[in-house]
Amino acid sequence: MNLPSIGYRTSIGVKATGQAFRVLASGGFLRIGRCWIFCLAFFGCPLRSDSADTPTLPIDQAGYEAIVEPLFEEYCTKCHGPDDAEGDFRLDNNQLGLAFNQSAAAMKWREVANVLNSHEMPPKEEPQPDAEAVAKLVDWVRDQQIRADQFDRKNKVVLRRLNRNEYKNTIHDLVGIDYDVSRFPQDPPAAGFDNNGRALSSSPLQVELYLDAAQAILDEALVVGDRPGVISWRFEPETGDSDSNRVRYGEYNAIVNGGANRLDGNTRVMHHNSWDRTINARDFAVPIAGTYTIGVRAGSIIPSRDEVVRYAERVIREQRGKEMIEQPNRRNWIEQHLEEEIDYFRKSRIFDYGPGRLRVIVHHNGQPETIGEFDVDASKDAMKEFQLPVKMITAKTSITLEYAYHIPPELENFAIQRQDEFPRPEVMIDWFEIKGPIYDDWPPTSHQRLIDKPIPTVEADRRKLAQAILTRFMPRAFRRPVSPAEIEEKMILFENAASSIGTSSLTDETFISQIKAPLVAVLVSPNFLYLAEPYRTASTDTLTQFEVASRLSYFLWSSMPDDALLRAAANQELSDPANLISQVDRMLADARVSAFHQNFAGQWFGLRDVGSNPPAEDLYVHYGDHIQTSIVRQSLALFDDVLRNDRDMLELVDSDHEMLNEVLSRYYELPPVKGDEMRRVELAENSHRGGILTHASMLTTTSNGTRTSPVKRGTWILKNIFGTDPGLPVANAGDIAPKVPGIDKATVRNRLEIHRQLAQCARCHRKIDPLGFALENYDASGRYRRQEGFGYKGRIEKADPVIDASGELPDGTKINGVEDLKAAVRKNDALFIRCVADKMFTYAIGREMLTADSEVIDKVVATLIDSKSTPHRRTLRMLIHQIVTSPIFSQR
Amino acid sequence: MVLRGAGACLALPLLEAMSTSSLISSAHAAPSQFKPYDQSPKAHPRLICCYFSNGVNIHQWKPKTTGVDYELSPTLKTLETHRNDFTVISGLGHPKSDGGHSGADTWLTGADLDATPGSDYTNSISIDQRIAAVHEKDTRIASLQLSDLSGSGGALHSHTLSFDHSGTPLPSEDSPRRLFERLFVPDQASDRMATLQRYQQQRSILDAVQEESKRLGRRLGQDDRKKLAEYYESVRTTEQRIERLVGWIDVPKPNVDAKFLQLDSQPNNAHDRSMWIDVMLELSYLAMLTDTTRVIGFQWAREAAGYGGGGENHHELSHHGGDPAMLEKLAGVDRFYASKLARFLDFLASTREGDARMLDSTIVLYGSGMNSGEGGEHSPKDLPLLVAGGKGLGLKHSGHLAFDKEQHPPLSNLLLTLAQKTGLESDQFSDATGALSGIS
Repeated sequence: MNLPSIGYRTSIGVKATGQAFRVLASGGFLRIGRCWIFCLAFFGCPLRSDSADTPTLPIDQAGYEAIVEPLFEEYCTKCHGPDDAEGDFRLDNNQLGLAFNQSAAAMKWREVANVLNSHEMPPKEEPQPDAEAVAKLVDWVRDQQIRADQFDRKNKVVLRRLNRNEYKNTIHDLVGIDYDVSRFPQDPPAAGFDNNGRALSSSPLQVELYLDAAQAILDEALVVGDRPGVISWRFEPETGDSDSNRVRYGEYNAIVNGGANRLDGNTRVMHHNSWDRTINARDFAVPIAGTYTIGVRAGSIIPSRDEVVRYAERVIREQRGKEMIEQPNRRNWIEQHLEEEIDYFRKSRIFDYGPGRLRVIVHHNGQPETIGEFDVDASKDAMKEFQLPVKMITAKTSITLEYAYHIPPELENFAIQRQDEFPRPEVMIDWFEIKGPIYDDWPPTSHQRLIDKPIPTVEADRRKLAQAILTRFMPRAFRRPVSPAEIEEKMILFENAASSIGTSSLTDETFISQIKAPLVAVLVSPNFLYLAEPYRTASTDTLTQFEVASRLSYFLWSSMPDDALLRAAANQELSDPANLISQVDRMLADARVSAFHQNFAGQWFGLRDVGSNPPAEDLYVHYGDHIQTSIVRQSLALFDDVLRNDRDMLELVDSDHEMLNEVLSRYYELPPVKGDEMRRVELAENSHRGGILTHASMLTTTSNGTRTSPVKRGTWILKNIFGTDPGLPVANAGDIAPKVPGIDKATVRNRLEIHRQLAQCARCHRKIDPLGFALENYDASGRYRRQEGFGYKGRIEKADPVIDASGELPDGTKINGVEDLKAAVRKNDALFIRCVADKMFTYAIGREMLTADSEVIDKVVATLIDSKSTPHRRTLRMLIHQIVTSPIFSQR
Repeated sequence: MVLRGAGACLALPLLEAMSTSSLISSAHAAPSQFKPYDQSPKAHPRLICCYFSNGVNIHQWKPKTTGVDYELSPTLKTLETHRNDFTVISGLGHPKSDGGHSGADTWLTGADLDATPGSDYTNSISIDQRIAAVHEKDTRIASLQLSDLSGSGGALHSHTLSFDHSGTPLPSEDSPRRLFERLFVPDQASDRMATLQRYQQQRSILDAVQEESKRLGRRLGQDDRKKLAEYYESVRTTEQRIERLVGWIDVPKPNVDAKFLQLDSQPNNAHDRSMWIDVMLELSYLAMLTDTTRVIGFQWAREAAGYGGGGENHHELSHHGGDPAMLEKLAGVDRFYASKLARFLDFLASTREGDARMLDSTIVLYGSGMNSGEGGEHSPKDLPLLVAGGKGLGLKHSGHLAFDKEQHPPLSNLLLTLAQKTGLESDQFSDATGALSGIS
């Protein structure tokens, strides 16, 4: 093999034949330049071992021959054999192999067990094996699987790197700095979550970024000298309406542009959003980087429905009047439709206006960042100051205010609503300003937490202070007690830094730059960046108290343990289930639990995908930014409500209540709700809402932007409600046809049915599609519909096909629409609870659940379901209690 | 449709132009004023790999005839002036690739992603990284990874074409401004001593971290240790990189004027899209011209996403199911991309380099890892591929080089050949069986 350079002699050319990595033949020190490079073979033990080093899983040949082979030969190999090889799935001659610890083989065996169990195979028209033989085979497969899992258990990855969110939260709790982690590469999800140790890789770029981040975090946390002066620059948009309006701020002649917005006294009034209607201040920079506050004094003018109708009526009558004179032959037609046109403005929910809305955008180095969007919930006569925090750098910057109220541009209103006289919610801007840098104290708390006393000027004392700082900092950073040797090792960096900086001047400044060296090293240490759970003895798999504390806090807070949790660990309290449970309840009441909603529920429900392929804006005019953020908040609020208020977890799917705010009540055409915050609202009969399956978040992410995708929806339900993975489509399956011969208006359902006629597709789609069809009454933007629209831009015309939401589940249950689907979930509540448990275990531990884990999970599920008499047992809180007190949680 | 009156009917065309984003952007959208340099200082072997997502309309991409005198296809028409400087290659594919939208993951690696037992995903080193290893000591930056979304993406939905020697994805840059700063803006600590001190300190920190990793590694189980080794190796590579940076401390970054570079273009804003591809290619050109790097992997769009020059839903179009209207739109996106390539080739061809042109020492690989098929199936076979430039490195262009789409040499043969021309002294890469005949 050709080695491109000495540094890369590890694993070039992974053999694609399934062979394990080759071990290095030799290793040793190589001297390159001044730097000793360490060869990998000396990394304690061989890092990648040859199969010869690893004990292999003993296979159960006898069991195979006795239990499996006869059944395969009699019922399966006719098609799945050398002659036919149906679906590329051969069962003759032990083709699957017995290496159950290899994922390819294991997956195939699982498939065999599944199709036999569910009577999918052999096909109905073929001879069937007797139930007992099948059961024996299935049990054998399961036993083999458990054996393989247990055999491999010690080798399963649990060492996991902090992902972006965990890093951010940990830095916040550890140092008190909000670091922007968007520069870090996105973390890849696996098994549904991005905290999976196996998938979280590291690359040199990441190490560079960690190094930069650590430096930047400490630069911000530790300060020298006096509190910097504060700027407070207020921009008055009434002073000009073009870029030639220059106003002096500090050393800059900034542009203050009120845009083409009308003046009202000394305020600017924003009527709608367009490129010349923003209000902005540009071409300036703040003198010091740091956290600033942007303030906006603003109010809303909300026109009444009457005003809207009066205006529309006047314009329409004027315009149509003119047309009737110009085109006398169309007079009757125009007259007939005139009332209809005005009626639209009388009735449409669109004109139940809420308060105006504002978006604030700051440019950093040319890159725009929306720092906030909010309802201007203040009247014209009682304007309010709205404040947003923002991190500023010293590059040229700008602040832009954008009108953000969305009136869906329906065909009936779009020509009229952009006219300046049309009564729309308006936003009045008195002024906006930037103030800062803001510090919570001086020196800031972040500094005081690290350096808690004045810096001495005697060298020996400085050393002592450094030691004290590290002794306090390192156990928190490593989330465990730290040995004096580990501290001394970091002290070497402190001393080295002293010699390179020069200790002639014993100032605060030199001390701070010195102490940063070991502190940076702590923040790029694997002990900080990884949740490591080393072995102590061969005889026990039980985690230490501190490791349990970390599992708990990264599970519920996506962050490091707080002092109370570390104290409990130090006092050996966490081995007592009662203590664990009271810690959980304490943590669930803490604000940090929002990370659990965001990261667990957010990924389970697919909320991070909301907006990645949004409903096409020309087809789904009601959708917009405000709806997009609201539908995510809605689903998180539902999860929060069910968790916090100990509701039956089935309410996530089926509930007669819903979490709503003002815009969503309009969007879903439900009785009006006022205000932007989410609250729990009781639903009327036939509201078509209630539960995640009716949330626009789920409904849009399972659509294609232009149309619904029953396949995606069905797959979503199988994976996230019933906990079964339907697997991937067969190769080259293709997509559904855009047209169906012989049908003029082919619905998505018609088109999909063509696809299902292919035998290789039908087997899976029989399971998937009925679930998706049940949601066909929700369009690609999640709004309710009775017909599929074929008119201009997807509008529904009279003769358009009526939605058919009926289907038959694999167990024979006939369902029609979402209510029946929810009933089916209720009927199969055990499946749903098992699915939630499985996902939450996966998230809590940071690895996929194995067959060997299923006994424990089954028990947990049984405990939850067992006491149907006390429905409060089926709560998320109870599930969390069960998880943290289970052996899976406390063992590696 | 039912129109409710003549007024609404007259106003209809307005609807198309009504979205706020189009109103804002149309005021700013402007073609790039960037002009290529007349001269490149010195010839070096270079490779840039340009990837577009979602395949192509293969009917309009693939030329009907083969050989030197082949007739250009409608999609490739825009490249007419360069026809002697490129070869269209059809019929190739990675035999181990699964197709679908995982094409970018394996485009430059040829890996079998399911190869390793017990692992859901195993990739291997990409060809650009093999070449980068040859040249890394000679350039400030070993290679660039560019994409329309930063980071590495998830398994099977890669945002990067580049994978290191352990198959770990190398994250991409998507911001023209950040890229410009990295390439051409002097480091903040301009004080030589301070910079040296910083490097020195970073290296001693990384040394300490390596020691710590080793100790931790001894106490871990085997799989954990593998995971940690990934970190250890990354730390080591970073340390080596800093070591190399010390060598560059007295070499100022090239002075490049940002005046005509539209550095604030946003990759995922429909109206900036065209400008963004332009400016990223302009920066690629400048990075190579200044010999800041010799190897670039540039993913113009992520799989299963992206659009062409406007707001097209490129992904949706790739599932055309043979529908003529959708196929036509898809070809429109393909022509848009090809025109961007043509503009980039114009730069390289118009820049003199010694007795030849910059294009002669620069190889451009252009294509996709997916074929959106005749019926919209997403196949890994018969990929749309094109190789341009590199005549001075020994590439021969022979028009349309057609292989049988069922029986063909692995695509890795082509990658290996390009690598050999850019300096890799090896005859092994991934599943390559040798150099590809017909192109050298």
